Amino acid sequence: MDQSRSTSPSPELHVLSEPAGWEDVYRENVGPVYRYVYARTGNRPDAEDVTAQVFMRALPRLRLRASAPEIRSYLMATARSMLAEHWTLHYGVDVGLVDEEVASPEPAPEPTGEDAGVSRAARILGALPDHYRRVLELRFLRGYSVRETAHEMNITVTNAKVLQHRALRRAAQEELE
Amino acid sequence: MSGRARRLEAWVERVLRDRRPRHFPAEDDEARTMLAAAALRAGRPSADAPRPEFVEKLERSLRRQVETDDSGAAAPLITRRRLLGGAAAVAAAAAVGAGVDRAVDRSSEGGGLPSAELVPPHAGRWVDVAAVADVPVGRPLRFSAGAVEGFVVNHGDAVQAVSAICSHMPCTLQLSASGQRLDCPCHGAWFGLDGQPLSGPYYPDRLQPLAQVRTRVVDGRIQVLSA
Repeated sequence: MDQSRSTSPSPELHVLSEPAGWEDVYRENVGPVYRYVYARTGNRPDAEDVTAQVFMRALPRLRLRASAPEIRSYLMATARSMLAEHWTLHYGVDVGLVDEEVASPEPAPEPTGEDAGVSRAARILGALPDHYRRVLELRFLRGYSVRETAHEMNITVTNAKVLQHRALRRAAQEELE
Repeated sequence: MSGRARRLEAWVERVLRDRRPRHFPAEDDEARTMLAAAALRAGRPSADAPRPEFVEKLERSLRRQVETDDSGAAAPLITRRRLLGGAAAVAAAAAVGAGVDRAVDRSSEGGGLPSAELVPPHAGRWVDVAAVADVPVGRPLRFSAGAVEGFVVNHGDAVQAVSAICSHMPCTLQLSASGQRLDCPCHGAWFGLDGQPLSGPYYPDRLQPLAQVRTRVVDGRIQVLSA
């Protein structure tokens, strides 16, 4: 599905403008929605719960005749709203303070490609000083334990923990700016 | 490390193992740090791909949901049938599906936007929603009355009701945690209890007010004009 479908004067337009079945909508969007949600929950069980809520909520309300980009953006808006609910419900956090994207008046189209998570993480890491970047790379991207990370960086386990904590806080600040 | 730092560390360790972390009331700065950790966690190649078993299981659940709601109408809404008495409850319950469907169609077409009043006086019928005494002053009550879904507020000296359908797109509004605002879960519009749009995170002041629902009080009971 692409945008040209709704605008190109193709002779097959009458066929192509048939509304998609909900299954098509689901299969095309479940990956992007899940990736978006995962990057804002950080773990599979929560990401699966929120993703299920998004489709449960949005599918019955969806006009299947809407264009694919419209459907995608409605689903992403629902995902933002379900994530806001998740963070409020489980962590008591005011959404507007936590996720700037949720608070923007007209959310920019989110990159939802398969490498969206990888490039966002790379962007966050790229803004950090070397030792902060290194500890987070080892732990988050390469899956090293604290002990392995400490060994690799030639520091104590305690120092590795402290470094990781400070690095994450700095990453959060960078994200705000 | 402080207690705060330790609970954050525990959260991060769970996330690194892709397990559900313990949920806790977090400070804003903690939440931001957790979100940064979540973003980094998604940076491990293919960590953020959904499991095929999950994708299939959710599709089966959605199919069940679609099949039990084959009218194609909006998702079943929370109704307060117990507030309605006897035969009115049965009639109102039966009308809810069709009524919501109509409301959704009308407001999504954009052309004939809802007038300030949801049901014109000559077309409606009065539906009982609650005893005035059961609606504390300033605490809105969600009602479902035939074709009309709304919130009724007892201002003390007057009773007012507004539609529960957002004026932006046909989503059902929810009462905010404070109980003093109507929030749209779809795009985040905010309305005051009088139906006027508030300057919220979204669409500040660009929205139409919510449609008003005519009310009256008869023998100490609130009635709304429905269809």
